[in-house]
Amino acid sequence: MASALGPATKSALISKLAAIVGEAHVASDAAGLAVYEFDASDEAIAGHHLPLVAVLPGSAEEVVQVVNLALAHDLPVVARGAGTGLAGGAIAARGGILIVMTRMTRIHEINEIDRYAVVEPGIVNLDLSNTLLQQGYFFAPDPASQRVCTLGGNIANNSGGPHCLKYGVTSNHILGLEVVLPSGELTWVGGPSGETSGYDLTGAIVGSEGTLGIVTKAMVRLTRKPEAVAVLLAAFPSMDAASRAVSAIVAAGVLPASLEMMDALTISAVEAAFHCGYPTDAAAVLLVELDGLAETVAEHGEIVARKCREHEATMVRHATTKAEQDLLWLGRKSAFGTLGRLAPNYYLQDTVVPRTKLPPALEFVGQLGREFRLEIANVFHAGDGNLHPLMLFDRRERGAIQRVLEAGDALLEYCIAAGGAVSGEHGIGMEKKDALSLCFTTDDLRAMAGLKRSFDPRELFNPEKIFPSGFSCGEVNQLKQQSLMRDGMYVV
Amino acid sequence: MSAPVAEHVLASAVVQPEVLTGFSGPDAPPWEVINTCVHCGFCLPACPTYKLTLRERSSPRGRITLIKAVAEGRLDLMDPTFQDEMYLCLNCRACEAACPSGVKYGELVESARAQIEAQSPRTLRVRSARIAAFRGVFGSSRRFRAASAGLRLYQRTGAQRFVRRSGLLRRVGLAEKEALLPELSERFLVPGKEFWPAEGVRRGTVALLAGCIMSTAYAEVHRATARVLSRNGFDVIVPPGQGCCGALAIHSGDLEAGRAAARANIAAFSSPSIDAVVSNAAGCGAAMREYDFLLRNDPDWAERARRIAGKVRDVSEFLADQGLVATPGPLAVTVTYQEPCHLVHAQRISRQPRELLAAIPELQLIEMPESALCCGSAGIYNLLQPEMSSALLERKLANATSTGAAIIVSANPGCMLQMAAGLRSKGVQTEVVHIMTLLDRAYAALDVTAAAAN
Amino acid sequence: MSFDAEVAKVTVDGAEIPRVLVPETVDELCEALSDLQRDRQRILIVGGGTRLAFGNLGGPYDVAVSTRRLNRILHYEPDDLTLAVEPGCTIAQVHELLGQRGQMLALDAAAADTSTIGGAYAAGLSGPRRLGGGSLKDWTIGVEAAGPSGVVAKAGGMVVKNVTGYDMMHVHHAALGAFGVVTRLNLKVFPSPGPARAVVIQYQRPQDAYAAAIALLRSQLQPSSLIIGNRPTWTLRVRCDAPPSAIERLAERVVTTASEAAPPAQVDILADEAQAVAPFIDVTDLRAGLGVARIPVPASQQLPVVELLMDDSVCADLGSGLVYVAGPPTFDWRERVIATQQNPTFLALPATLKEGIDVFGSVRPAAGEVIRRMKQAFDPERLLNPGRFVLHL
Repeated sequence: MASALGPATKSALISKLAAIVGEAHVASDAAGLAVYEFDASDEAIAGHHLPLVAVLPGSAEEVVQVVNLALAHDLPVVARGAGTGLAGGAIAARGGILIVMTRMTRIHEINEIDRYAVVEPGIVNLDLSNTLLQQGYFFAPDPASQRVCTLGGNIANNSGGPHCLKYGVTSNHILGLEVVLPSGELTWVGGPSGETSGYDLTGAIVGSEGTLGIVTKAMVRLTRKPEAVAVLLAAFPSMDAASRAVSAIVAAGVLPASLEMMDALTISAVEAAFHCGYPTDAAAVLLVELDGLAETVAEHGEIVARKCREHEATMVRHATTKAEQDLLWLGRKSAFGTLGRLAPNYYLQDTVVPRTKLPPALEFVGQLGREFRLEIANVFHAGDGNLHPLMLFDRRERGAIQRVLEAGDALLEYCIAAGGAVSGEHGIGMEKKDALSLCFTTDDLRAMAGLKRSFDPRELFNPEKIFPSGFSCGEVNQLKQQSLMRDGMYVV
Repeated sequence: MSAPVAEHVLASAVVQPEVLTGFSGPDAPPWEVINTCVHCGFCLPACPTYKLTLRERSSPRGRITLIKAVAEGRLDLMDPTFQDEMYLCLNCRACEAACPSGVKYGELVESARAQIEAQSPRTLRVRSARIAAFRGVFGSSRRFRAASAGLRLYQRTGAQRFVRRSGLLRRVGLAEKEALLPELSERFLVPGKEFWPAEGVRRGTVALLAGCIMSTAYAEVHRATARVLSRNGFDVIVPPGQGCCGALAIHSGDLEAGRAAARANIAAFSSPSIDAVVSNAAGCGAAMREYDFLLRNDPDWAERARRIAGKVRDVSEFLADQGLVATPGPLAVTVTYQEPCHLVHAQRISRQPRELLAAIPELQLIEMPESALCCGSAGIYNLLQPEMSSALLERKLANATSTGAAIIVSANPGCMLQMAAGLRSKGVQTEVVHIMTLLDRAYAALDVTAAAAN
Repeated sequence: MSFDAEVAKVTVDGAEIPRVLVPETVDELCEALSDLQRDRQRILIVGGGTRLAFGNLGGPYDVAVSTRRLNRILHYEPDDLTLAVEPGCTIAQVHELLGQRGQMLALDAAAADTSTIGGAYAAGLSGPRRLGGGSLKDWTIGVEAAGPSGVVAKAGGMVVKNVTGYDMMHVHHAALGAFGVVTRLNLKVFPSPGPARAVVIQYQRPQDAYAAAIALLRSQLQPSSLIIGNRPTWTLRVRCDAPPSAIERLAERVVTTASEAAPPAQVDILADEAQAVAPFIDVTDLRAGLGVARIPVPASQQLPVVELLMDDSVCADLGSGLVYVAGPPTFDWRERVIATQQNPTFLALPATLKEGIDVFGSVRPAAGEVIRRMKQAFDPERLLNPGRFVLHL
């Protein structure tokens, strides 16, 4: 552990790290490390944890050497991308060596026929997609932070984004990984084929938040750019009407590429920042994107418009030009940040309910706002039932953060009781590890701990994440007394 | 902010005051600005220094974290990394344009620099260079013109060629700086000495900011600007008593020098007959628009500062928004447009220059990649951070020349000097032209056509 | 617990298993597992029995546990596009249920009437429609599995997006029951895209079929599946799905794109969608007594591999990057497949030919070590399908 290293050992370690990655790519001074105390989560979640040292390796080989040095010193290792995570996943909770992957941005191969690319994890999601678009392909997962977030972070969190309604989450788009295992070995898992021979560990590693390995290259699936894209904007007099329209669209057999909802508060903030053309008098809007063959898109566009009108839509508009579509998406994807204009702090909750449970869930969010005296904005992936209520507050106000966290917990419990999940796409990290026992039994967690132990018996890879506090993967019985669990929670 | 905030939220807001421990005085970075940052990281890809280093401390979010750490007393103001980062920032404000939360980052960095300047003199060489520059030369336009005249003598006498060839400058560590020295104008623009009456129907009076570098190195750009404005129906005056806008001093943390410059200019531009204060230097215009913030705590000047700041327009913005009444003549050239940071980011002006270019018949605009990424000039940044500056310049020139355009159009003297110097050292023939010069050429082309027709 | 003549006899790798248990509920299954663990009984897990030929030579087994009667639909909410099933539901049963509500899973399998969804998931066998619609690996949003002590652990849930805890859905997928007996699968399902067409295009030469197929892969036509078979001639088969207004034009555009890349010998557009995957169904029927292998080869590399195997029945799945081949269950055939040097998985082989090889192909050593530890963590006494999984675990 960090404190266990004497000054001489620490300075020797730093020299060795400098020899591996280069002196310019090691940070060990107060200021150089202070910037890694945060990711995009609130400090109430991230706490105040500093790594012992941070390094920015330039290649897989350097990562291997850094990891082996950490293993030799019994130090934790935590991988970090752009630091846009919202659950504290990239925080060095137990100190150790922070491995910042942002310099590893190379694209090693793009294979159009076999529809894969081999890239390094530091590449920014949108940079990857833009490169692929030049050849008529894209990388489907598109989290709102895609201008900033790295592919490695997407893999660690199994990120979603608006377009995973149709295209699926990151896990569905990762074919293989080059990974440094907690044993210090570098290996490939998976491959370009739909099934690999042997047994494929790729799916287990994606979404494991760096607790099972550190990805140094990824083989990502390329998705062909569709021949037609349509974007529809519909305005509704209530959130309820909008959410019933969502169910009606899906029930009509249409699977849009994305189906997003924004409430009035969000619209006002977005319009103030970017002037995207959202109607400021609507209680809710749906942003619907359809893609595919030209005929399918045209036909589905009519169905979507009809279903919206049948559910009280006061306006349905087709964004006809690419510029208009881009502007609407800019507003949607920047929405969280624009809400930062309304209050000094916000807490973004990420939960999921089955799509048909959206209307009561949104009603419950409204109740929470009244009960806990919180302004709550809603901007979320309605098609997936993935809620993102954003609670505005001012940290300096006495008791504000407690009210926010209590409201967040109440919402989690509600969503789980409604058949939902603790996190849809932002990850567990430090934020929600204790909430895991809301939906999983000790037996469930013991099985997951078995997976962790198989990869990382020394528990040095991103420790203090995912598993509830006090739950050691080695001694699984401890949790029994703490568990708040209700069996079979998700069975509706 | 127009968004509704429910009453029950405001009613409960018992805000606890926060105490700044690491900063002091009225120019401390304001807490409410620091707190606007929700560390979402959306600024990272917009930041030139992050793009090149890919490390958090060299990003806007990282720098705000450092400022916050100093404010909370967790990091020393004297910390060398903190100081390095405050000065590695180009203050290009690209992050502000990318920031969804509206963090006024420029104010934070300028305040932090002011704190450093006040409390911990940096190395003697840098500090003395800066003081000489700001207080001694930029601080007085008369002295700036005198110094510039000396420089012109140096260029004209052939001493420049001799010194360049001798490698003398390289030996004393000034080679890069010398390459940045502009070819000075034959005739400087002296405020109060020149006037351009409106042609055709008079639409108003605009006052031109002469500035320091512009009035000496680019006096001809001023005259071109004035001709374009007058041709479009505006009386153009250059009020006496004005001086440097103060931007270079403010960006480096010498807020007092900046305030002195601001007061002088506010006085010079205070005539109610002036409809707009027009700048053709993006950095100067951006600074003047923030005179109200700079003098917010000065009871004698705050109101006047607010009034003048509200009148400031960049010339491209002004012309495009007012509309051209005279159609320019054709220019059959290919151009690419480089967006000065203080135009696109600080003033959010991106559409208007392109509209003006589109108004020139036969001109073809080829957009360069990363047109809004800083060229590395950034005031005197190129003198203080040569390594980062030249890396950014390399990238800018690669982007610009990849278009194959014959002319790089810009709207800020610093960028023009920087790019011209870069092109010169590479031996590339591409011309760097101010957008007003180009418009002026287009109008001249009209005159030639008309003359030929007669 | 029931006794059923249909499942009373379980034979694997030529050996009949002395005892067969057929639990009717998950509770019964767990109780049985718990009892069996106490007695250190080694268990063969069996579903529909259609894929028993797949797996390393393991055992000996004391008892077979069948999931055949665990065949309830646990939850189906069409408006949520989610479905929860017990593992013994047959694939035909699932298709029929979804079809009634205009929904579907793009899952093709041999012997769909007997083959179970749990079996397809555990064996990791999905069909050519992976290209357009994914596979069981992608659709499984929640899993429950009983460990050797009879304790059920769950992961995931009933929502389509979920990053709560580890992705055990991917752990049990294609693990052949080595880490537990799957007791429940939660799946996301899809609206039926509309009528389908099988576009069947015959070529004289395999390189022409490949040229046409690759042109389609690179097009924006979004075929649902793309396979090339060699019986009776080199035939490219394309499945198209689209709304009624678009399907005819789509099929024609497929024909045009393929023909421009390589002029075909014959073209048929068939309403019988089964024709689009017929060679896959034929080749991957593991009950036929033939040797069957699945070779991972991306589309751009398939032609030379296919040419090496052209004496056998070949089904090249371009969208999945897999080549399936069925041939005589002989030593020579096995060696011919191994000689492709593409790390094949043998889906069916006679017991004698399983000797001395790992039918799953090779695994990189560092990953192999993790898999060994996983077996140790989930089934330390090696009671579940002992020896059948990769590395003879």
